[in-house]
Amino acid sequence: MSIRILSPEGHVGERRIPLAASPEVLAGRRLAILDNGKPGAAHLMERVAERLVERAGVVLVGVRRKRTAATPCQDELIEAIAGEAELAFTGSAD
Amino acid sequence: MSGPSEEIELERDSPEALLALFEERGWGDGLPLIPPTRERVEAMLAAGAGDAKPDPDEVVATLEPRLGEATRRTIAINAVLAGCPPGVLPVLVSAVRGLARPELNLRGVNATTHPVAPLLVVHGEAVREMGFNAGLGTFGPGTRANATVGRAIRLILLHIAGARPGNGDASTQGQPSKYAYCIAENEDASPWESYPTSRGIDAPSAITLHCGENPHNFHDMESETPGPILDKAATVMATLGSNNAPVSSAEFFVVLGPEHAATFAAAGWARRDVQSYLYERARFPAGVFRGAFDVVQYRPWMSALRDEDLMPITDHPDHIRVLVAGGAGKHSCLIPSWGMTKSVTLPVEP
Repeated sequence: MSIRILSPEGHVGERRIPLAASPEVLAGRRLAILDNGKPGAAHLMERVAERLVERAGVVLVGVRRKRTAATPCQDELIEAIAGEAELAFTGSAD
Repeated sequence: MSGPSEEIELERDSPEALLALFEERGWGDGLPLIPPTRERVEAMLAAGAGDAKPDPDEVVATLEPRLGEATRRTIAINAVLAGCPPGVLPVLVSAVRGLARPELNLRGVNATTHPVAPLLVVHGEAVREMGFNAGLGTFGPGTRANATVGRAIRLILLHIAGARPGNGDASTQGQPSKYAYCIAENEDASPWESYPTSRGIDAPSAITLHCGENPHNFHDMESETPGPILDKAATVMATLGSNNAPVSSAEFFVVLGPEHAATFAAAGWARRDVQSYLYERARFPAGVFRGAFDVVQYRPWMSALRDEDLMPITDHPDHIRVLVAGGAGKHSCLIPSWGMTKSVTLPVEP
């Protein structure tokens, strides 16, 4: 005999902040790095940024550091990056 | 409002077929489940509705990282799956509200490599009315309400919040309390006001969520005064391997067995005396902390301490939370936090 059951998942809500579209051309774009504090995160992102500067003409405007990887970034830091850059690197994990 | 839940036809009404379906879809906790038929879910909703009869499809909270919308109906579906007894839905709904509070930081709790799991503590009239065990063996096993409500929280995290190991839950090893982690405060055996009252919550029933490690036991069979018992507890707190060590704002929950609590009360100690004593005793020289971590979250005044000064493992006595649970015996336990999370205490409301 068959049986009908209800899915336990529920619906997925909308993201409060949609992701911005990536630029098609990197040359001349200002790049910031947001170091989330994980071991090696800044090292990894700085090396990648160096390659982008060399090969694609990106301009590295600075490296900033979050208070901790475990909580959302402080608003003032996001505002500062948004004011100085069009691209940002972040999000390295363990 | 959230839309209706998807209905799935299972060719055979058998435990094996249900388990196979859940495995195929990446659902469940690996243990056998009760089929969430429409009839069972409606019965769970009706038993937990009370006089208010809240909308079953109203979004109670959105749970991260999946941004899953938890409604009373989806909470009830997971309660049925877990085998919950009728009537416990208000506890689960209140717990879901707590999971979504920003200070609890559910996204971080679910996403971290740490083994953290939310401990649910039930307080007040709900303990007796819903059949929770606040006494001997409160952490389990053996009592349906503790076991299944704890399990339902985990199923809600798996299904609605999307905390699947490897995809939403990055815990390196996991921990047994990720299956079920629910106890009840033993107010009858506590010498002090209830825990929610001590946090300013005035309600017949309440819940507390603390995101932490498994319980770390400490025992003292001999001492007749508070100091030696709490000296042992302090050694369990002051460990460099816990996430509390580099995060000075992190909380510890101290779950006292009634006999230890009675020893403190007989000496005239209030709850805050236990907190203050542990704050004073759970320490290392500041240089030991500094030598152990490159990245720390300490209060500024801690940086001013000299290497030889004894530095507390938490920056304030209020981060040490004390309640009584369990039964006869000279055992208590300590539950360190994940670190970047704060406990939440809320009234039980439908």
